[in-house]
Amino acid sequence: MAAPGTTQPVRRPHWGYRVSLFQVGQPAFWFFILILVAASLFLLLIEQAALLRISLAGWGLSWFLLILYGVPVFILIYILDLYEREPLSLVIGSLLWGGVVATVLAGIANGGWSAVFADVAPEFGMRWGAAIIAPFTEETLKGLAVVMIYLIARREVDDIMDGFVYGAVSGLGFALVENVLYFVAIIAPSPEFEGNVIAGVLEGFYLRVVASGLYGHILWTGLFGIGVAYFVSRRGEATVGKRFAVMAGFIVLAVLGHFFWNSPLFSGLFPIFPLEGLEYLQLLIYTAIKGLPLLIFVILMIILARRREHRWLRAALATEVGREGLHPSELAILERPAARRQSRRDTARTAGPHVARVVKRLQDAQINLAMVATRVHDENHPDLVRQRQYCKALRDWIIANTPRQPAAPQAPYPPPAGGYPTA
Amino acid sequence: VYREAKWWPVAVVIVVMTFVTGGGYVVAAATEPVTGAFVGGLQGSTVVVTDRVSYTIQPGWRLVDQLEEPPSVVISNGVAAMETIVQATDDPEGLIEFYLQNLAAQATQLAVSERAEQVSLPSGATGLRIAFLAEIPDIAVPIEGEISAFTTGGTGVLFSGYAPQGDYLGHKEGVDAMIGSVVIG
Repeated sequence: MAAPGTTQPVRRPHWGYRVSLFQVGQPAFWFFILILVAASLFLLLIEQAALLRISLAGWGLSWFLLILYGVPVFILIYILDLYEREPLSLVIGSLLWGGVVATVLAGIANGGWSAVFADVAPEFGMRWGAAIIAPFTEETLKGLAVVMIYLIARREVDDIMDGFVYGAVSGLGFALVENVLYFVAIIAPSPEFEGNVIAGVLEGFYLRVVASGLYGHILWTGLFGIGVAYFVSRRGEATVGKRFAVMAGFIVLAVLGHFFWNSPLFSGLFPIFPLEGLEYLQLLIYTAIKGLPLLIFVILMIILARRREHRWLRAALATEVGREGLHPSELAILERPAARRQSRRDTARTAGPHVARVVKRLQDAQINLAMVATRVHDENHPDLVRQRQYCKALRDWIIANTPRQPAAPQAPYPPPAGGYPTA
Repeated sequence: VYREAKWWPVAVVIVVMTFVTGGGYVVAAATEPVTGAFVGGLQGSTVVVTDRVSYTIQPGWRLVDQLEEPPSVVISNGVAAMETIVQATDDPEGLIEFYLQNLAAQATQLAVSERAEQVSLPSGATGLRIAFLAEIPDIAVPIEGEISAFTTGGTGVLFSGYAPQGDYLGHKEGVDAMIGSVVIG
């Protein structure tokens, strides 16, 4: 326990360690590859081939729309991590796990557990089966992406934000592949669209992406990932019992969120397809009721995780502030993305965009300085010295290329304490 | 000092994935009603009610109706008929009760024998049998017949053979032969 008047020291993160997906010495990596290849074959040769046979145009339009949605969302999730962006190979690995492995296995799993309901309680299963089975099977299978990434590259999951990123990306992959299936095989062929596949795909896109895209698999699996990341990254900070309880809490929350979404509760608000007029708004209200509370909760979690990252940045750079690589005033700017952007805009206005680009390089180099500082344990380590000198060189270049501002007139002496006497 | 385990966490992941993906099928196999899957068909001289219950049809009889829920078939030789119903139960008396309730709902008159007779199959399975007389508006004449119910291993099979009043005895031998040929399990 920390002494009164002191605070517990902030743990140095593992930001300086960069590990890719390709860890050939890890059994987890080979299992990942094995199951990914098997699931990919199933997905491509059976599922996607079947969807193509239903409607080539519907299939193509579905993927086109979903890529338009998926790419920006992927980037948004990826850049949530302020300082230590996760290695792209790992993030893509998580995306593939969610989109390929989890979707294929969930399809099989849902069939099996549905059969249990059909045997034991068919009428109850008709009404509640989707709300009970899918959250259990899909959240587990998607969430295992985070577990697999951890087992492959343990040092890369060193805070809850990392868990959220890997989980959310897995959820995104799952949502993309599942949506193609829904658009082409379920929504478009329904009799309401009278064979108009394109209209069906577009309404499916409105339902499952425009109205629901903020709430679904990305949030639930992000929560699962936060739980896993908390368990594996707080070793030494919290007891096993507490870590396990927190992890279980987040996983249960993810499952409950999915359950509430799939449940028939508030189904009276769900409009009948094809949508007309105010029904588009009604659908937005329906999805907001079901998804907004969890979205707000996740946003709060992200804000808290970012604050923790600020503290980490400060801890990682504590021994660097005031040295040639980082001035105290620069740390204040570095901590806040908005301040970083503002400083670049100011520089662009006063010195031109080419200097602003170098300011961006300086800021990146200073974040890398934090990475190096967390990796080496000697203040005079050659890597650290080299990074400091690189930062200084960039700063010197910026100063040399920034026009001097005319000095403001100054009083020859500082004013006396209490200010000048007045008449 | 914390040592990273390489193998057992992967084994745990495999176990979890296997349970989530395949566990439903295992549980479903265990919870599947012991009636088996409905087939409701005539295969050669065998009437297959479910994949667990079948019997050999007598010459001159043919399949005239079948129902998936509860799994059941009706055969007839033009004068007499025999219904076969399969249910998951260990209680032959309850099975007869179930059938009689349905019969009573259709009948304007229904009389059943006071006591149930103990019967057994060549396979050793034991059961109960009652006789009945009923007037059913859909059938122009009163009918008489026997209801026999057997249970074994959680599977209950009920046979109801009937014919116009006064005619049943002439067909009873054929009905009993078909009942005696039943295979359950």
